[in-house]
Amino acid sequence: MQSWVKTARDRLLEIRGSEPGWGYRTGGEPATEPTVLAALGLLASDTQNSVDPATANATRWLTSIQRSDGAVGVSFKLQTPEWPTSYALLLWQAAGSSTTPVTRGCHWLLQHKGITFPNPKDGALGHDTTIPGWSWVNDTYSWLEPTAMAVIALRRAGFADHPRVRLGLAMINDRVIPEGGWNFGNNVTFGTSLRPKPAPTGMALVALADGNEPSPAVEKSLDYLSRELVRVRSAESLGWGLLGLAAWGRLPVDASSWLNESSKRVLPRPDAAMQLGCLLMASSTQTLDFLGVQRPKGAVHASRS
Amino acid sequence: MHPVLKFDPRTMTRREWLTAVGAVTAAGVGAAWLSRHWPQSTETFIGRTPNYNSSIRSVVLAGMKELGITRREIAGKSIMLKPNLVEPATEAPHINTNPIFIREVAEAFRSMDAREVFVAEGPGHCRDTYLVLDESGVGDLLRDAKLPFVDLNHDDVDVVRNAVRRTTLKTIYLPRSLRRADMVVSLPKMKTHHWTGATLSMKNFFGVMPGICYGWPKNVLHREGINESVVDIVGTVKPSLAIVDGIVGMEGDGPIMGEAKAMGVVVMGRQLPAVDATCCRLMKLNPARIDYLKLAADRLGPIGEFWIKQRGESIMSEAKTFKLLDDPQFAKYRA
Repeated sequence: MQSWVKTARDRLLEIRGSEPGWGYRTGGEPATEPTVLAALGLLASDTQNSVDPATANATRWLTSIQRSDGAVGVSFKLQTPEWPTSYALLLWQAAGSSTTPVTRGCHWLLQHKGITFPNPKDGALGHDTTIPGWSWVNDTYSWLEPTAMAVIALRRAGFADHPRVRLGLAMINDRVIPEGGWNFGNNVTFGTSLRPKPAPTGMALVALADGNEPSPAVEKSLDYLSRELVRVRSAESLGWGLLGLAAWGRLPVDASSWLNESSKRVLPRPDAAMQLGCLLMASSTQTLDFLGVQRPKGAVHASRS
Repeated sequence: MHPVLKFDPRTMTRREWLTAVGAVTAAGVGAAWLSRHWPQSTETFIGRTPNYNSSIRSVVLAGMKELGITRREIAGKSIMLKPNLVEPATEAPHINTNPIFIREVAEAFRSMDAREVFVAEGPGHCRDTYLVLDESGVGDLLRDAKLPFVDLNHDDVDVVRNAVRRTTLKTIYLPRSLRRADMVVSLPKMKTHHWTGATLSMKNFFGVMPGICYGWPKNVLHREGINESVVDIVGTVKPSLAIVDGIVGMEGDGPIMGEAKAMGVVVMGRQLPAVDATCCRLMKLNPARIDYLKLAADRLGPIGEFWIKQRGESIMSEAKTFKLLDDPQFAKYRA
């Protein structure tokens, strides 16, 4: 185990304290998203391939806050919005939890979708507003990140061929920025391409990794990420960006040193849990299995030495 | 109801107001109506600041003096600065409030013996707040100036009563760090906006709404109406002051894809609608055509020029035309 990985793992366990999960800030109330990312990071980076007590506690806590309809909110107190449901599904599956919460969570996800509306005639938007994905909050529009995470979680649970997942993939493909990459989910406004960002691009690339050869749009997006990550050291963007590249067999040879560099910045922060989780997830190709990625045939991963 | 009673004096020009008063008097409604509808006047300050290397701090301190903000009012207080950091922007620094501007405002408050000054923001388009801080240059500045930062998108959350109710939302989620501040200060960028006409000190408060509750973008607020949401948030948060970075603004396809516009001004005031109305006049936009200003004008502060005492430089001497998108729908903001 690389030394930064051990340090990051130790720090994660330290900042959890006696809570069952991790909060957005150290000492804060446990919340679904940081708990899932921290626990997935611990799982992915565990050389023993075992579920440690902290991860086991986290999965039990998530089950305890799951609503009767299958959704999982932001935290115990914030039962809505329900976008973290996809995250919870990923941890339950990676940790080998009982199938019941997974089944209920998938049922909830498949019953919900972002609102759609007829394409505006004024040309203000450059994407198709009629394709439903998933929203951050019920009864609002579909956006990139919740759609990518829902697709990833449902695919991992065996729903890759479900019509909703196919529509989600269509939405992701439709929202790609013409020059490559994704942002929050708006590719063109008033005829101008908006700027891509590494984290949503990484998530989209993970969601689209189906074992096939990359489309031209995926190729452009991989090129964008490969260029961009050379200078990006914020943990969430670097972590998801590297996972996006790894999903298509394009992990840069310097990835490990970038992760090390980023972890040093993150360790003292009061909101380190989610960020360390992202870095640890990106440190191991096992994460791609947790995310249900089908790697392209013959893909070669660069060395992580 | 007499038609004049539907008029809103806070959006009126002096001529319109005098006409309305005459009509009311003629209609025999008289003193009672006038006492209910007589607007409170307010003050805004325009300071000339040619670039980010000039003495922003002294201009801000001069503005505070003109606005009657004393050391006694600031000393011992916790000050939250809310810049506009929409998304990462190495190649387009005019998207975000300039880091030097943030530092100079912070130092102005420190020089008035504030107990603490901290910076807080919840970027609307980018989940990775640290990427925004890195690429805007604000991260380095915060470290060098020892200014604490709070990511409002991921803060603990309080549910509070919506004090205005222009939207259908009975309650709104607000980040707990707002409670830490004695004074909340809006530090927006002076920009055009392709959905609302302009984004200034009021629209800047979309950034206090926690992303974990509202999403990225904060689409619940779009569904409820951007203009109505702006008024609800500002009316509930009750910011104390606005200090607008109008040194370099953005024109055209704002708030993120427009071009830099050198303006060389700092605009300040205690009542945000008045500050934003003054900025609109500086940008040669009509504040009465900006819907959230129109909505705010009946309860959060005046936007009519007659009710705003102008301190510092004059609007006439500093105003420059901000380009709008070349589409007929945007012409209304000039009329």
